[in-house]
Amino acid sequence: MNKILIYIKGLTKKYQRNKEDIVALDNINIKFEIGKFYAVMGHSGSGKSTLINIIGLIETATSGEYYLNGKNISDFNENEKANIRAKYFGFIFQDYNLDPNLKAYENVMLPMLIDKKVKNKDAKEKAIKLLVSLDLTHRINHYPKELSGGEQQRVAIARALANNPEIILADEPTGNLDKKNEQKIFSDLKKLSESGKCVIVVSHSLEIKEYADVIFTLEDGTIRW
Amino acid sequence: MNFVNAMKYATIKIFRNHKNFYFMLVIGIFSLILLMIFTYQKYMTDIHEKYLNTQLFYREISVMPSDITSDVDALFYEPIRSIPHVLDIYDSRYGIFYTESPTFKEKIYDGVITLKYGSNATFPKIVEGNIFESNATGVAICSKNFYPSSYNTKDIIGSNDIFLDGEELIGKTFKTESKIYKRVDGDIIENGKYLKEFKIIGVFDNTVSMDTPNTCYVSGGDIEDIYKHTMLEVNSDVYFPYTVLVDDKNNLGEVGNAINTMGYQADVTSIIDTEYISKLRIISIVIIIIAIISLLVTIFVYLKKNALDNSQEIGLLKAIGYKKWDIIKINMAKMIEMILIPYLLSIFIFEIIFFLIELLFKNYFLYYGYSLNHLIDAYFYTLEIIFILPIIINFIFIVKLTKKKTIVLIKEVI
Ligand SMILES: Nc1ncnc2c1ncn2[C@@H]1O[C@H](COP(=O)(O)OP(=O)(O)OP(=O)(O)O)[C@@H](O)[C@H]1O
Ligand SMILES: [Mg+2]
Repeated sequence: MNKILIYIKGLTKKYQRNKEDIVALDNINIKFEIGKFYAVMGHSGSGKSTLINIIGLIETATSGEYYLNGKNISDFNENEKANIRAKYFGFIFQDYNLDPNLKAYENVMLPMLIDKKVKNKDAKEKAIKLLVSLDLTHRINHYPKELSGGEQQRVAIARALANNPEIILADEPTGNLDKKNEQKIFSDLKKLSESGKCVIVVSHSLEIKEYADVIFTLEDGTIRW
Repeated sequence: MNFVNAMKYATIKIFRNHKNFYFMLVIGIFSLILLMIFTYQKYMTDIHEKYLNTQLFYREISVMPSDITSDVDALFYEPIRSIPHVLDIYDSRYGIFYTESPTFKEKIYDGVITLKYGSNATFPKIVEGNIFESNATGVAICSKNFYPSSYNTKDIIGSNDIFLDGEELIGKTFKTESKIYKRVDGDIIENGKYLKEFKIIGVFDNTVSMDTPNTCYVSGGDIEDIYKHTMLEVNSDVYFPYTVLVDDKNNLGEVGNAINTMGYQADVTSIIDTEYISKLRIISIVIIIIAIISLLVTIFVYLKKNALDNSQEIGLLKAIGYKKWDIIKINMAKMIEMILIPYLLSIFIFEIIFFLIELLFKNYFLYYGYSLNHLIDAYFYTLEIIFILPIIINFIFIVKLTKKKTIVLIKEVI
């Protein structure tokens, strides 16, 4: 068994809508290990995004405990959470969320520059290396609008890897892509898990079953294995 | 993000989004307008103030000696001179006299010269060279920028050098010739010219005293001499007013009363007219208020147009691990740059305009005794207005945004 990175216990998330409680996640217990590729599947509205956002600390749980590397971080404040996000997590979004006014390599540099000690020059060098490793050598100086969807998402992957995080979180990363590009993204993510990262991907696509080590399905806020 | 990287990031973000150009253009235009308003207002106020402080007629009282026919000195001059705050008293006919100088009538000069009554009480504050006693004759103290001519737009508006260097004139002599008037069978005719010679023993800075640059101070006796030789004789029962010079305009009333109790009629020569200055102040305030309101509108429109971009940018920065205050700092750096760049550009343009005005109106300002100085105050006032408001509004706006949930910011659509 690999080392357990994330352990979530009794996680519940309720949303308020028109004074009514909507239970998006209902008493979830789950572990994530390093070096594994996790696929989160389920119908629309089943709570997939809610779960991955809570894991990535960009959404707060209503109740439950969250252990990262054995440490309970449930009660961390915003700044502490920001530190954890910068250090441990790399995000990949369905809409890529690249900054349209930054070139590919500048987008990748952005997370690196959080650290005040990082020099612009070093960050640029590292960003270019990452883009090269994702077959984007010829796209380094391009703006997002000059790239195809698949290329944009690979730039987003490079950005997610910028600070060499242990966990990669992707919410429907191939939702806007065709099959060929989807396979490319999944195989890139697979390679990352093989290199020792914990990769958690939300997807509707059955294609992901070819790549995932662990698949679980959410149904009305609870997990079906 | 460290300071250098934040500035780089801000600069990149500014120059790659054309919406920012419009914002900066508007800021630049406001900045230029404000610079001009503040400078103009300050100038006019300063000039007005300087005028009040330098012009003798704001400290003068005109006195009619009604029934004095003999021994003016003992009966009139001495008692008035001994009133506290009185500096000098002289026959108003000899206060100022316009004449021509054949010595200087050459090239662009028509030779017209203004002779002013000179005494310790009326000399400009600073005189280079020597001054003279009140009983002196044949000596003069002239303008350092000497322009022995009447006002002439063609020469005065322009950048040519039109002034004689007064310092080089010290020790030189010049002649004046004044037309002699005579009454013949009820008509007034010219009858030759009366010549006089003066030696320049000192010079004064007319931009300090605000005298026209064709002015020379000579003794009252010399003016009287010219006057008596050239002007029509009058009947002995006609009186002319005397001019009493007071040390401060605030003492005019007191001195006036003292003269009145002596039995003479005293009138304050000049009423201080502040209407233009107060109008100017009101107009300036109105323009500044309009500028501030427009500035507010501009910043709100700008923030509204960029709200989506800002939300997504802030959401992304938060998601990848930037702390709230880092994000605020980065965003403020952007706004500060977006104000400072057009501000500095507007100063640059203003300086060019200033330089051109200085070049073109150099002689004009010297003629009227103004000096065109840089008013650093205007730079600060302008910066305060165009800086503080947008910075505060932007700050509130950004702090509000950073408080929103990351996921809400990222997913935000129009
Ligand atoms: N901010 C919110 N306010 C209220 N309800 C919400 C909010 N976000 C999500 N929900 C509700 O929580 C439930 C889970 O939503 P979630 O977005 O996690 O589903 P999902 O599995 O990601 O769906 P999809 O496949 O469509 O992305 C849904 O019923 C949704 O309507
Ligand atoms: Mg979802």
